[in-house]
Amino acid sequence: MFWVFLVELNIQELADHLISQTVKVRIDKNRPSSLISQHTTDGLTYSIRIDLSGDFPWALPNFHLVDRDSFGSCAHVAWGKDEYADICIGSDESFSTNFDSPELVLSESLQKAVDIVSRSLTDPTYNKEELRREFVGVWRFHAQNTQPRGQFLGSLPKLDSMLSIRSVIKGQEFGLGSTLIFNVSNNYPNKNAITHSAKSNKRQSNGKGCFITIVHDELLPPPAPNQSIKNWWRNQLDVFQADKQLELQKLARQNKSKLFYLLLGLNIDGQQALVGIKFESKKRSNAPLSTSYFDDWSAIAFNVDLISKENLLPRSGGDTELATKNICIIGCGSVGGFIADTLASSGVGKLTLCDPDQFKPENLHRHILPASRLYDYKATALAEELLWKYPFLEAKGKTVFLQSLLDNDFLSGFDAIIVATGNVSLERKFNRYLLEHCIQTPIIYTWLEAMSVGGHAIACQQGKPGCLECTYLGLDSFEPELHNNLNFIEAGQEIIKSHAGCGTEFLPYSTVDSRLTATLSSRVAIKVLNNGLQHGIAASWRGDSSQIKSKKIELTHRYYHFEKVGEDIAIQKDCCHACG
Amino acid sequence: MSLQKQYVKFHNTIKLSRESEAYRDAREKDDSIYKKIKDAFKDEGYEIIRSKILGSMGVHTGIEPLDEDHDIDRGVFITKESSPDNPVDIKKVVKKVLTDHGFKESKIKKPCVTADYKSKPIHIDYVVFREDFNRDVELAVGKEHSNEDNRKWDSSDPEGLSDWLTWKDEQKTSAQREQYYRLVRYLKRWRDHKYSSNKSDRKKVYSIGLAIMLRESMKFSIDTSGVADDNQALIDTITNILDGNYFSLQVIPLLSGIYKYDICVNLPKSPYRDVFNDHGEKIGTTLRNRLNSLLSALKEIRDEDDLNKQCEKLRSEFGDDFNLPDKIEQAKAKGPGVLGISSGA
Repeated sequence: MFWVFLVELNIQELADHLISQTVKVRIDKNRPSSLISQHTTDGLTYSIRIDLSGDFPWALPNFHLVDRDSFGSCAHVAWGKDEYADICIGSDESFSTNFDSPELVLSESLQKAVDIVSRSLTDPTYNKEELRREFVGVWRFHAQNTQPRGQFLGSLPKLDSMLSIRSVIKGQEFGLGSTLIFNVSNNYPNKNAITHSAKSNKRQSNGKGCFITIVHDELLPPPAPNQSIKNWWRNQLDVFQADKQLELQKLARQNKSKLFYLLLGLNIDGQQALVGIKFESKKRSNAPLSTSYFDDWSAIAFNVDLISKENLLPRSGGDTELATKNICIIGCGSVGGFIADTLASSGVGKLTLCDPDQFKPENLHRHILPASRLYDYKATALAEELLWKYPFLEAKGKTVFLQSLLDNDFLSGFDAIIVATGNVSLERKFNRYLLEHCIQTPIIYTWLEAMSVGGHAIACQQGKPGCLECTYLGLDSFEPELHNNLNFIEAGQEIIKSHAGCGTEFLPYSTVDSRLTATLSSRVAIKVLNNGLQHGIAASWRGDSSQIKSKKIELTHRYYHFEKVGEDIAIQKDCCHACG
Repeated sequence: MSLQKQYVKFHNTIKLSRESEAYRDAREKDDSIYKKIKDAFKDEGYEIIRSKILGSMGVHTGIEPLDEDHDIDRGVFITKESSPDNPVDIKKVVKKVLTDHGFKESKIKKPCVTADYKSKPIHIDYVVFREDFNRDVELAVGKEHSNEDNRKWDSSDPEGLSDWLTWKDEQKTSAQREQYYRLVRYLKRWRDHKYSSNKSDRKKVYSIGLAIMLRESMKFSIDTSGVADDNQALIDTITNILDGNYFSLQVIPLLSGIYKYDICVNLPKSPYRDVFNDHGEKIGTTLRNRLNSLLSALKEIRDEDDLNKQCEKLRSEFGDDFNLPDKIEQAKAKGPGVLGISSGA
């Protein structure tokens, strides 16, 4: 009872605050935790219901346009059942709220809702453009949840065309099998999860369909709240130019069915988008592509996802410029595995993965491969796992030692090579081969140090100042040494551990260390791929030293004075005999 | 080719460690003498706990001497229970071993037993300590014929001094420690070069005095990547030394308008005495003036762009072992053939 009393008291206080701000407001008689505010703009009066949930002021209030249906299409205002007319002022995550002053949270967030509604109601040009911009979002309100989503595989056709459709997999309510598949081609590789599901023989051909492009100028605003999809489509058909109408009429005459899927390809603010209409008829009827054949059809909206490189890479954080890049990763251990995954995720188009080792139980907790891949070769297993995960990737594995990769043609064929073997001597040998054979492919060498102290990546290119050898010059001696001068652990200390004697040695580090190093190396690699290299660079991350200090391991001056977090440094040394 | 590289080449030229080839004779002599001392002590019932290399060899600051002997400095620690009441007794045992082993002019000095090898340029100093259960250490003090008042077991902390001079547990990186060792070596060679015409005074500018002043006044100059600038470190550290309290203006000469300086540098560990106790007034003025000249030269070198000119100036300060720059040679990896690694992927 006490809690209820508090809530009621607060609601009244909040209402009083709004009143003091000259807002006409009252407590909603039917909802004790809601307020109704009234606003007038350009002679038009409307009300907003302010729902203050139990989470307020930790969460923002929900604002609803009262009597939503009477306002027609109104940008940024939803509609639906149960008076659902949410005014979109942005998600809670978009704001930092001053929950110590709930009255300010309320008045200022209400003002945002008022601004949105007022502008949409009084500025038709703005309202129309905003509605077009959020076309797919508005379509979502019309799409019925009971209908399956669709997936359109590949880039959108330039011309209007008929579609092949494959049904959902029976019994699958969720997951890839629960989506309709449009435009699947036998040419698609079935090594990735999406096309594998799309080409499943558990799917069947499922009615007829057609893809139609709508250019920006011909696109109507999305259907109004009470407008039927069929009616909207009729209006849209009328807007098309005469030759397009004739073409569609021809397609309608040629295609008869009881089920017809229409996919509408839109171009909104330079972004491709896709929405769908599902037509059903009790008898085989001409396709609903002309108003002449409309009578027998009922229509509902559904959502379609466009599964194409151009559409998904930028939306999901990928970089389309990387899609044409061809990278070789030598060493698919813990760091190399995470690099491969990061680069594939970033949108790199082609990966060649090289490692002679098998995936063993002792690798499990610091490797990206799952346990199902135990005793497989790391390189081929990783290629297959990445192909499965990333639909636009080309990847192949080579179970070879680095020595057998010393071939000019092979090494020159990549946009960059990443070396993550953890074998210092082998990497220096590799570097010498590149120098001797004038191979100009940019190389990224990466490694981590024991016990979470840090990790490093360097990028260099034959002919550019700064190379791997520069990082093996002693900082005191200025002579080549066996210890990398970027390292955080002083040279010559015993770090390697073993489980059971000879042959079981391992360097103590965790999967977090590998991931941090892989992220660092991937960032360097992407920078090199996108911008090229003017000179050799290095980047490092520095971790906590408490673990290693407890083992009395000594750290370098660079560790204690490292300040270039997230920055690249030039690695060139004038006294380098290789590039100086 | 950078100035720092020239400094490091100079350092590598003058550096002398117990493992150096040039020190091999001295090292072998030391090993064989110590073996005989162990036998002699055992015969006398003195129980050895351990021995320790003392002097610059024990603290990474040895340099190749100019026309002088290689020094052997060793301390032998025995148990207090087995030690004689008269500290000179055990020093006599050491003297006998040295004499029997072919050393000439074997002599029991106040803190040590000293001798020169007959046929080789080797000078030896042996020091005897005793240690009790609490690890308190005492030095055997007294000359061969000292009376009871002048011979005693005197409190001392030679290992504390070594630890202090090597920055043990001081949170210093190896780059910092190495820079300090280099600076000590530079300044010792500078002393040997500048005092080459007056060996008597040169012997009074004690290495330990320079090492303590440098240690207390040390201003490291190392960039964040670990690359050192020894010239700047010398400038900053010598400035600190000259600005510190080591040199004191003597009042009486000043009354006559003469600027004369005494120098006082206290041991940082027991027995905390002034290392220049007997000679501070004799060497203070010249040392201060010469340090001032060195500082001016170092500043000019810093402001000079031409590496050849820089090296020529440094040559006049440190002697001919400071080389002029030469062409880049094809370099091979230095140091060990195989090095354990601390990295992976």
